[in-house]
Amino acid sequence: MTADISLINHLIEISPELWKATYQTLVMVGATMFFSTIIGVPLGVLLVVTEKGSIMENPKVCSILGSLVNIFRSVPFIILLIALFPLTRLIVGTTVGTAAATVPLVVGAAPFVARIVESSLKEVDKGVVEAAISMGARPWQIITKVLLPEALPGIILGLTITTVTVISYSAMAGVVGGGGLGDLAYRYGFQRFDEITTYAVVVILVIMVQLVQSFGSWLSKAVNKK
Amino acid sequence: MITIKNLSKVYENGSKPVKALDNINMHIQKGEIFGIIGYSGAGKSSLVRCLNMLEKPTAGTITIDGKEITALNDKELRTARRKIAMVFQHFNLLSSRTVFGNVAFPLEIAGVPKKEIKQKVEKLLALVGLADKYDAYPAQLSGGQKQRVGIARALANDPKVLLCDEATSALDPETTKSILKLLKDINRQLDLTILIITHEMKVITEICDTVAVLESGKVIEMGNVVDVFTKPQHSTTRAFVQTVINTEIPEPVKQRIGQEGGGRVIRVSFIGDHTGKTVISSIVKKFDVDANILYGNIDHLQDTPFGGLIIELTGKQESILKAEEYLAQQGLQIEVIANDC
Repeated sequence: MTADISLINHLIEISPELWKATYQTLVMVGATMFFSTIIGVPLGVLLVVTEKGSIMENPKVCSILGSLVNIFRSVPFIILLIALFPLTRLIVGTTVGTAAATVPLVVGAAPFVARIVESSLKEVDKGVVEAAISMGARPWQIITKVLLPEALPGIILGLTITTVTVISYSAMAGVVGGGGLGDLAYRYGFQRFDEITTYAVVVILVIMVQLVQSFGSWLSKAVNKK
Repeated sequence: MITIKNLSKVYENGSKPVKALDNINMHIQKGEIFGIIGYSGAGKSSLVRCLNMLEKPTAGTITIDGKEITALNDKELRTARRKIAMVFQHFNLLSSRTVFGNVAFPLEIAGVPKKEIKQKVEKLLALVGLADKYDAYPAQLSGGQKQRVGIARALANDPKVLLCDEATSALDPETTKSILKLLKDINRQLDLTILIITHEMKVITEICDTVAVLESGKVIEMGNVVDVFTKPQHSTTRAFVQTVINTEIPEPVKQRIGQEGGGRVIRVSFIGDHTGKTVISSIVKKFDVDANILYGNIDHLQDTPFGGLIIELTGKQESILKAEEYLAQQGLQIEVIANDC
């Protein structure tokens, strides 16, 4: 009994910290997803439409973008995190804090989003694109009225996967001064041997991932009319 | 409406180029339904795709409604394409849009105001008999209904020409019939020139006025459907004709012809009005011959009846020859199959 009470007491004690860390993680992940989508979706579209035989064929642009995406995707995130300090300082003005952690997260996630968007767009029936061309559609109209709406269920699923990945990356980013759940677990759990905090963080992360995944799957299904 | 001059298309894929179209020349009249038939690989899809420049021809010119579309720049081509509509084998509807949204799509592309789009789409859906499917998504429709949406969509920008690329090949025979009927109705109501690509001779006989037979990228036979059908010149054409009309003599009849004392067996072929005449009974009366009908068939090519009879004639040779002469004078085609008398 006494053990239970001390557990509850301890949880109550750290709950402000937990709430704060959860909030920071949500902000980090939310901001990262917002900016990675803004950067990644157009990048993914460009990768598809500039491909040979596509509506804005441009092999040079396609291969340059492809290599760029590959470079950022092949650098391990923890290295990206440190290597991008100069860029982070340039954009945010500091390398510490939640906003600063968002920069490497976006740089890591945007190419991921680009590849996911690319593969979703490639799933779109070529015949439908051809039909649009045969009606005299401009490339921009094909992108906005055909490719993106037709690929939307796949893109939503892809963004869900990205969000889950970003949640786990955000734990690492937290360690370099961004705060968030990962940072909390590291400081309390690892440095103070406070296992309860570690478990509490894990539970919160599991719930977060479950919610994200369920919502993503539901949304993807809701927009899928196939 | 459409003039194709010296059209060639060569695919440069890999080491050896493939000649898909070899010097095609064609003229398609305004308001006619023109059918192009051929086996797969004959080049018919390449041909129809050249007409709206989904494929760039290697050589030659295509003129549609006075505009040389092979000479247009990208922007001009996009505008021209609005008047050259296309219907596809696999429908190619947008799965993310409702029936309404699909038919509205080409109008949106052309920049038609929203209010006008609504009116136009309603009219088109009524025309193709899908007014009640307004809000349905393509996944909820049958193949025939999807193609009706495809046709409504194609008609949205009031095209001058409708290209049908194997439009009925993915449909069952009943649905094929109803879609063909719809195409014919549209052709008559709107005086729309329709070009149909198919590998099914039934499609040609059902609705086409003119037919071109394509083989290895060349036009091997072209003309009025009734003429090409009743007097096919090329073996491929004959093979296509065979798929809808049985001009072969059935096996039991063949055996009988081979038998001893079978007399003289002739095939009498007729086109059009001749079928109604009682020519067989007149030769019996007039020439004192016996006529035994072994086999007969009558088909209709749209409104023209045509067919053939295989008759065994017995009697004096002189009378038989006279009887045949008489039949020929009536405008019938005579072919002697066996002569045992």
